[in-house]
Parts: sequence; structure tokens; C-alpha cells
Amino acid sequence: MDLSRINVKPRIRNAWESIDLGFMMAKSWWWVLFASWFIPAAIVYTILTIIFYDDNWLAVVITWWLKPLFDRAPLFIASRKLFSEDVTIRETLKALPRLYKTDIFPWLLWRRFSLTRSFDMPITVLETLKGKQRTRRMMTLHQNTSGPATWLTIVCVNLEMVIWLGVLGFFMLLLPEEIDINLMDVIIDEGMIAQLISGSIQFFAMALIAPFYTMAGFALYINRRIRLEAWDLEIRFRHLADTQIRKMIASSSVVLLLVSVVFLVIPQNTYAGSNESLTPEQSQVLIKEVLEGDDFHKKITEKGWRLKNISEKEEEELEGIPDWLISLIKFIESIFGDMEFDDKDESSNNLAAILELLLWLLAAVVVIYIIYWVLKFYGVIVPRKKAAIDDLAPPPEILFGLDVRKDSIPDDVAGEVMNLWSKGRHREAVGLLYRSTLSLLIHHFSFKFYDGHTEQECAGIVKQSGNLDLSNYVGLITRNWQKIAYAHQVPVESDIQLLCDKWKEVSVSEK
Amino acid sequence: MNDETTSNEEIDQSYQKISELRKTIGEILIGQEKVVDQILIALLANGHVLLEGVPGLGKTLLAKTLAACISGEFKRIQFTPDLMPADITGHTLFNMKEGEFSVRKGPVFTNFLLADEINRSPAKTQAALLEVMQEKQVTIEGEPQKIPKPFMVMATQNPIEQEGTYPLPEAELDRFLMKVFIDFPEYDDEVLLTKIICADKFDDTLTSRKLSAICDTQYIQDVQQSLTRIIVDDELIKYAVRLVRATRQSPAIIQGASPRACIGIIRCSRAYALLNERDFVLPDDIKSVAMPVMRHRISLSADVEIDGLTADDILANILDSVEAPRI
Repeated sequence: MDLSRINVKPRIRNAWESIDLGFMMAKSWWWVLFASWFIPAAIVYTILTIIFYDDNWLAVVITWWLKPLFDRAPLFIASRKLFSEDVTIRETLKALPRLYKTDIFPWLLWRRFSLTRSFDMPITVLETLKGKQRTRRMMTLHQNTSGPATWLTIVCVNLEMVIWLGVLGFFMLLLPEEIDINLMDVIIDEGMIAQLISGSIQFFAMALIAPFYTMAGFALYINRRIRLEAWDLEIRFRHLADTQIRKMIASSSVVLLLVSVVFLVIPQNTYAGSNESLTPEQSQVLIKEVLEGDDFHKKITEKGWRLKNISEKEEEELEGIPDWLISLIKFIESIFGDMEFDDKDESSNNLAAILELLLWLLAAVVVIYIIYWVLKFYGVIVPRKKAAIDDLAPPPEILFGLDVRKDSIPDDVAGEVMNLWSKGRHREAVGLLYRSTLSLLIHHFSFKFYDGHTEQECAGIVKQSGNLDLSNYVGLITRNWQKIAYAHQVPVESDIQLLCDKWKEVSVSEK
Repeated sequence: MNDETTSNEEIDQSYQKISELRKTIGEILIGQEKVVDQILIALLANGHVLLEGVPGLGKTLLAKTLAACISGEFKRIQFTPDLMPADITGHTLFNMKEGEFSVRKGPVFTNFLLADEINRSPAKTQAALLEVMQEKQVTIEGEPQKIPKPFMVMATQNPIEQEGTYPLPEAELDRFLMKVFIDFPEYDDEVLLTKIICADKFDDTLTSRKLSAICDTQYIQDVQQSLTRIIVDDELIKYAVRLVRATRQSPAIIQGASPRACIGIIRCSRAYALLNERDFVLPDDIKSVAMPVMRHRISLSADVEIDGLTADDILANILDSVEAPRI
């Protein structure tokens, strides 16, 4: 990697600008990138289509699943082309086995659904880091870039879908009206031809988007390295050094300028610059002396309040945590941390506060839900629909529309009824007996009747209670009451006599 | 006393016939006893019915069977968006041979008219039924034409397919005495129905059985007339009015039922009493018929509809809260 041969302007960009740069890279090197993705993928897809000729969707799914492998060839090419190295498709294909086998299982298993795949892939393909080293590296690189990398994946997935459905829809628009076909049928149809057409379009959509996706992720990665490793400064120093060298040659002051160039290019060597004539052994001795000197052994104790920096401890603790979880937390942190990681403690605190709030809310929801179900179980609260109906029908203030107070009923009901009957006041007599029966049912037997209940319904409620004697009595008085009230027919006297005889028995019976 | 005895005998005779009618229709239309009862109530009360239910539940069969049982004429109109009023009522034609205009009567000239999917036609065509439903006559070229008696319209609506339909205007809805929901039969009834149909037939038509008439149209008219002798206490009339007025006061209803609903409830409750072999009406009869008589005459407020309540829910609430007549 010769930084002086880098093909892009090495400056610090924001993440979105980097994605633009990636798209520009994909456009510039389109055919070679496309071919490097398409050729191996097409071979796999074709073989799978032949194997699963009845279920082409399986070929599509497997090809889609292998995308982390197919993305590596374009990445390999781009990493060379970025530094002006020519690489052919043939060389790339030769390098494929090596590229594919690096971390193949993690990428096809638990990392398959990583939302930052294109951004993380260079760590695997170019840096070939694994395990703890990879985790640390990812934590360093992910700061304030995991969010845009995630959105890049989401947008590209959607673009694939749009192309797939768009092309399908386009072809369907070209079909004559006589051909009755439904887009959804084509997508989910079990027919072989329909599946093949749909699957092939889906495959081409993947192939079209893949170079852009890979390059955008790669550009994000390069941008992080430019920021972290100060590539821009290094390249700038190198340019300055070249300029100074040319000037020195021109002015014949080679030695003097060479010293100044060395001073400019390698500032960390300033103290050693004057010892150029020393042998390596002498230098080592000198270095050892300097290191043992007071400057390197000063101990200064400073006391004061400051926020805890737990990043190192965090890194150690995070070693066992899956990458996707770290990515997710970083993503959330990048959203809520004002998109700046310079003040990492503050963003961490913000995130912690938000997570704590969410957890408290969750706990509250769970508690409320449990309370709701307990109350509902015991009938304390009623469902909205029933409640809405009940709201519309407030319970009547005067129960049953009758004067059913105990004191409104004469002490000797039977005697009073027979007295009225003997005077020919039949309706009043039966009415009194019926009203007394209702009062008895409400106060003595605690039946609940509403204004809307008819006599027949009241009798039905009593019947449901299972008290046979009471039920028979209420049935008989109800029939007689209905006869006189609605049929305008006088009941048989024997019935009234029977009801009066049984009144005392019923009125003192147990509930 | 003599009058009372005569009345009771009359009721008994009518009850026997109607029970036979009910039983015969019930044997054909299996598992729809409630629907059969409501249709008979509407017939005896001289009204029209709006039937709502998904296709395939035997609405046409019901109408045909009813017509066959009383020796009545049956006609069916399939309502479509391009159906014209004259296609329903009829029109005049110039007879070249006789050199004069003659009336070609439409399908409304029948005893039982099945207006299938009535909401598929625009309001203009639906309105053609208004006069004939209310006045029992049709005016063609200025000449009123009498409709055979009894005349009953059974209009159907599909509750699911609402696309491309024209909701019936309130004025026309009010002309229907009852709105009847026809639902899927119970499991056992459906098994029996399938068994009967598949026993000796190779298609799914249900009318192969030759029905013998139980009575004639004149008998039905006589029973309709005799219903007026069924006793309705003033308290019950007040109760019916209270129920209808409650629909106008309910906050859940933006437009309550009209006075025609009161009349309908009383007419139907008389028929219901007859079906239960009584010569007097009970509050229970009023309650039983109130819902099918009023459910299509009320408009619910938006809030209530958003809450997922139906007209039946609100009416059930009204029936529970309005004080039933007592003492």
C-alpha cells in the first residue's frame, strides 16, 4: 500500500460524503467490479437453478445467503485499484479461494444479518483480523460510522426490491390485456417458469446493486482510516518532502535542505537526527540512557473530579458479546449521542439514561398489563365494547319502574288481594299480588331486574335460579297478570286463591 | 263472550295453518327457523323485507317456497347498475297489429318479488320500487295499475361486497317493514341439508320437490285482516312508542326511527302473537320484533361506529333500558 499512489483525494469526509465517493468508485470501475461479483454468483445461481429446477426460490435464497462471499471479489479489486494497482478479472478469480475461505462460517452464519456488512468486510478481507483483534478494530472503526453503514444496507435492500418488482411490473405492463396475470401470482406462484423469471430478475437486481453497496462500505472504511491514521497528513508531508527535495537540488544546497526535509517528514526523529553517524549499537545504548533518564520517570499526581472513562474496561468486557449486539448499541449510540463521539462519555451517559427510561417504561407496562388482567379476571373492569354499551345505559334510579319498597306492600298481602277480588276489583287484586311478588323477589331473594325486563323475562330469571317452587309460583302469577293486563281477560278465581294460599309459604321460604 | 269465542276459534284455525306453513318452509330451508318466522311475520303484517346475508343461504329458495305454499306468483329481478325503472314496473308498447298502445307489465306484477342485490342499482331504479311498495300500485303512462294481493318484496343485500354498490336511501329503507339477517346454519343443520340435497340429486338446485299449496292468497289476506282483532293493550302501544322515541334521544344514534317504526312494531307483534297461538300481544312480542323492525331505520353516530358497535348493539341497549309496561 503506497499512500502516495492513492486515487482519491485523501481528506476527511463525513459518512454520507464517503458513501457518495463509494458510488463514484463503483461507477468508475463498474465493469470489472460487476464482472467479479457476477461471474462467480451466476455460476452458483445457475447450478442451484438446475438442482432446484422445481423450486427456483431456493436457488435465489441460497445465492442471496452467499452474498457476503460474492462481495469480496469487488472489494479485493477496489483495494488494489484505489492505490493504482492494476488487477485483472483473471487474477481476481485466482484469488477467490483465498478470499472466500477467510471467516467463511461467521459471515454465513451469525454475521449474515449484520446491518454493517459492507463496512465490516474490509476488516476480514483486507486486514484478515479475527477474534479479539477484530472486535477491538471494529469498535474503533464503528464510531459514528455504524449508523450510516446500517442505513446504506437498508437502502440497498430496498433498491433491490424496487428493481425486482419494478422490472417484473414493467414486463407485465407490456403483456397484452388478454393474458390474465397477477403480479402477486408471479411473485409467489409455484409455477416453474414464473419462479424462474422472478428469481432471475431478483438475481440481476442483486448483481446490479452489489458493486455500489460494496464500494460504499469500502469508502466508509477508507474514510475511517484516513481519519484515524492521518493519511491525509502523511500524504501531505510526502508531497512537501518531494517539493523540498526538488528545490534543494535546484539551489545546490542539498545537505542543508535534506536536513530540513528530514525534519519535516519524520518529526519524531528530530532528537535522533543529529546522531546519524552513530552505529546501531551506539544508538541502542543512547536510547537506553534516554529512556532511563528522569524525563521518562517523572511521576505527577493530579487530583480532581472527572467523568469515568470506562472505554478500556468496556472493551475487555465486550469480548464475549456478539458483534451484531455491539453494532446495534453503537448504532443506537450514534443516533442518540448527537452523532459525535468526541465526547464519548456524554453520549454513553445519554444512551444509558435512555435505556434506563425504556426499561422503566417496559416494567411499568408489564405491571399495568398484569393488573389489568387480574382486574378483568375478577370482573372489576369490563371490555371497552361492553363498557361503551353500559355508558349509554346508566342504571335506572328507580329500580324496575315500580314502587317495590317493602313498606309499600301491605302486611297481609293475601288478605288484601282476596278482599279486592271479592269487591270485583280484579285488576287491582292481581296487580297487588304481582307487585308484592316482585318486591319479594328483589328484597328477599335478591334478584336483579332492570327496567327493560318484561314479565316473561323476570319469570325466566327466576326459573334459572333453580328454585322450583318459587319458579312455579312466579310462572303462575305472571301468566295471570299477563292475562288480565294484556288480554283483558279475568283470571280464574281458583288460580288467585291458590296464589294467595301459597303466598305466605313463598314469602317465608329460604333463599 | 260470543265474539271472544269466535275470535279464539279464528286464531286457532289461523295458527294451525300458519304452523303448517312454517313447518313446510322449515323443512325446505333447514336451520333458518328464525328467518322463516320473521318472513312469515312480515307476510302476515303485509310488509316487505330486506334480507341481508351472503350468497348461498337460500334466499331465493325461501321466496320460491313461500310463493309455492300459498299458490302465489313469484318473480325475481337481478338488480344491476344498468337496470332501468321501466325494467321493474313495465312500460307501454305500440301494438302494430292493433294500432294502439298496450301495457307490458313488469316483474313487479306478482305476489312475491325477490329483488336480488337491490343495492347494485342506482337510486333512480331503486326509487321505482317506492310507489309499488307503499301504494301497492304502479303508474304506467299516467294510468295506475293494481298489483296482485298479497304483495311482498324481499330485497336482498350482500353485507360483504360493498364495492360498486349504491346504499339504499332512508326513504326506501323505511318502506321495508323488517330487516332480516340470514346467517349460516348450525353444524348439524348444515349436515342435514347437505345430506338431503345430495341424496337423490346430481346438482345443487333445491326446488325439485313439488310443493303442494297449504293455502291460497285469499286465505293469507283473510289472516292479515284477522290480525286486527288481536288485542294490543294501550300500555303496549305506549311501550312501542317509547322504544321508538328512545332511538331519537340516544346519543349513539344521529337519526332515530320514524313513526312508521311504531306502526311496524305493533303490526309485527300481532303477527308474532299469532305465531305463538295467542290472541293478545305481550311486551315480549314487542321486544322480539323491535330489533328487525328498527335496525335499518336508525343511523349510528360516527363515534359509535368507530367503537365497533352495530345497530343491534345499540337497540339491545335501548330495549334493556326502556321501561317495560307494568301494572
